[in-house]
Amino acid sequence: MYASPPLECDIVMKGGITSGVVYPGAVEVIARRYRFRSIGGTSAGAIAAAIVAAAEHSPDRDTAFAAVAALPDELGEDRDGRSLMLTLFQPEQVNRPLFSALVGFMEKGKLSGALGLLRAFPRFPLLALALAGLSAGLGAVAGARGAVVVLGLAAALALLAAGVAADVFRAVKRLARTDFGLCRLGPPHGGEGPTALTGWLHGKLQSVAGREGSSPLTFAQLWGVEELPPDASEDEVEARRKRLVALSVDSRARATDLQVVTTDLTHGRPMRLPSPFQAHDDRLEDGGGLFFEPAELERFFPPDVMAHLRRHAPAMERDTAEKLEAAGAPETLLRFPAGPDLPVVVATRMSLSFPVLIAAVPLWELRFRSGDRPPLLRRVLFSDGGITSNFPVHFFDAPLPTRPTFALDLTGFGPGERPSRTDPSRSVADPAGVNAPGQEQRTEIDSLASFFTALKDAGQNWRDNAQARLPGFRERVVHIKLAKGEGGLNLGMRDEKIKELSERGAYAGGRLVTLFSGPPEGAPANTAHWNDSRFARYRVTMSLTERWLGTIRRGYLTPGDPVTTSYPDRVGAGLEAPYKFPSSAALAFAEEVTAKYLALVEEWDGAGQTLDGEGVPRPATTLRAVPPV
Amino acid sequence: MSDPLGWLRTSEVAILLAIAATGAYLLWPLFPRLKPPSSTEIFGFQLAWRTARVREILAEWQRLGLLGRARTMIDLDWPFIPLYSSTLALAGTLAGRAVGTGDGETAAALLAYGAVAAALLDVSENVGLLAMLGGRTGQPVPALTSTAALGKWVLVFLVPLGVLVLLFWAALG
Repeated sequence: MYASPPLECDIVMKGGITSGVVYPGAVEVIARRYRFRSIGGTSAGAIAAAIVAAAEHSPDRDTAFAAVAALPDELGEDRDGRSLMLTLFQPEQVNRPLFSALVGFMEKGKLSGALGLLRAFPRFPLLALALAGLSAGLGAVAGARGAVVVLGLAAALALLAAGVAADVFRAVKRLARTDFGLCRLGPPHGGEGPTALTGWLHGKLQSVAGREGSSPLTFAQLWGVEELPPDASEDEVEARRKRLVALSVDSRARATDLQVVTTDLTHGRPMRLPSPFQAHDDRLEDGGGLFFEPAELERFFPPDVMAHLRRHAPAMERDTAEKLEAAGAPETLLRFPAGPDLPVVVATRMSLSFPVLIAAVPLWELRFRSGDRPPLLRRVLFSDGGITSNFPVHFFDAPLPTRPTFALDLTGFGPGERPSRTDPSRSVADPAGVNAPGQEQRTEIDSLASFFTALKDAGQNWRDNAQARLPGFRERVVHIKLAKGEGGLNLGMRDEKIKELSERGAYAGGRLVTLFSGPPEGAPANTAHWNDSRFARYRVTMSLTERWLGTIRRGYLTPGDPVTTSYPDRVGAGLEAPYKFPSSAALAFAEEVTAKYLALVEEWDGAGQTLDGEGVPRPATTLRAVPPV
Repeated sequence: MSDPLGWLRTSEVAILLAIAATGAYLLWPLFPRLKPPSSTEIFGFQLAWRTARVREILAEWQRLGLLGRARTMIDLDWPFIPLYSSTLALAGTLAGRAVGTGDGETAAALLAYGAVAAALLDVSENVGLLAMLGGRTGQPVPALTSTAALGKWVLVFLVPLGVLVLLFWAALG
């Protein structure tokens, strides 16, 4: 069914904790017709992306995608009265009361949740009960006057409220000790207990990829570059390194390209994993200066993943080792392999760190200081990718797409809308038509709580929301709607609900297939949606290119002034640092190319024609230099 | 010496004792700790006696950024003082009434007044601690503060001991 799909596509999946159960259904339908070449996601979307990438890596695609299709059933399996999905969230020992209180609220509503809270933090409720009982009892049998009895009862109530609040506050404060999350999701404490999410995911990735018993699946392997045996020759090592550098530069040449987003909280920015190598260097674009403490990460990752991290930790240069020593770093610290040799499960876990529920992943870096002062060793915390880009719809975008990049959005129902258990079409909104406005997020702001939620959402998601409504993007975003009690923090969703959401995803996948290459049950067909979308993209790209070149010409030809050297003069001195050209020939080439660009723009101006005028798809788009995240 | 809480019935003393004790229990864990990272807890500061010692402790706390934490401890002590002193006074009263004799009543009154005295000494000590944290480290502030603290700690130790003795006495009949 999945062995030889006739077409290729890319896919991007949004974060949403348990909402991710919609994805197996969607990718299963798409996988029948398309082979996934580039796969990306954030948080729960990163989990789905990793599993899809593992399935594409498998030598037996049929079996692999059948395993993906079976995931909703597996996640809904009953384990001692709870779904497997809920058991995958294992809190740290010290956070158990807080976690059980949280789950109580999510599973049973406010009243039962409040009772669960009292059970989770029983100390003050019991004391308050004793105080109330004592007051009432002494009032009834020992003649205590009414005012004192009432005072005792009021104090019991106050003690209950203040005591539980204080215990919850202390429990929340303790989260700092467990890397700011209730669950690290790592191996069970003492090696005994249910498997948590990371261990389960690791096993799933290995089995879906057909690598059970082998070393952890890495990005390099997804790219098509296997690990070398321990006795590999220097030539083989060098050839592998060159291949990885080449694939870092040309992501389209990767056999399967998986990318996920994490958030570097310490530096306040998103980071894309894996970090590619620089084009003319074997240094990583980002994250090359990170270190890890094995004893810390052992609480996050299974032993064989830790063994891989230790084995693939880049060699510590002498200079770096000296600086670490000067910073007082423990000798056990190792360099973090943030590049292609990073296990997929590590990157996925770094993307999935929903704040407070899931602990941030701690790494380390050297912070250099001015003068002769020794560097400082500082923690770098990685949290959920969704904090900075929950829906990385910009992933894998190309000026002129050669294959569709499907994007699966998770959204809510509008006023008056509700899900139907039997009709998933009511819970899915098609991608926008090529010549139609995209579906925009609309938050109903009618209370202080919804106002603050909207504030948070706007700050968090504005980039993704603005990107997803642009022409070239909106036509490939399918919107899967989730109601209250569906997905998100509802860790305790039951089997039927998980299956219902998976069917919703399957419907969404089917709509994408239909729009881009005809109904799933028939043969692939040329569709207006896909080809008009490509044409719309062409119109946008040509208008942007013209505008971009025009602004280059204007900037280049603007004459210098007393404080500004003109571009022709500065470029002419391009053999001087910084960023000097490597040779006179390179400088001459730069000047020649620049002259050709300028001539091109002059020619267009002279002809009085433009591709940046009427009929360019709207909303407006712009080109600018942005970081590759 | 007569029972200063004679206007309260014994059952009411018990209820008030439970209120005060649970209140003190609620507040106690909120006190932050200074050691570690400091080598000195707040008790060492209370009983520093000498200006040099006070300055040494303050310098360490400043270096470790703990001065704010020390102030927080004193801020929390204000509501804690009436709670723990009431607990001691009410427990003493209850124990004295359990003895049931004139001597018991006198002992209960002594314990209650002792608890009130501990509270007053604690207030004086806090004023002294705040003054030292504010930079007034010259004598007689450290000596007066430590005297108040010593008096308080003696009473805080003696009053519960007295309660236990009274309860033992009452049990023996």
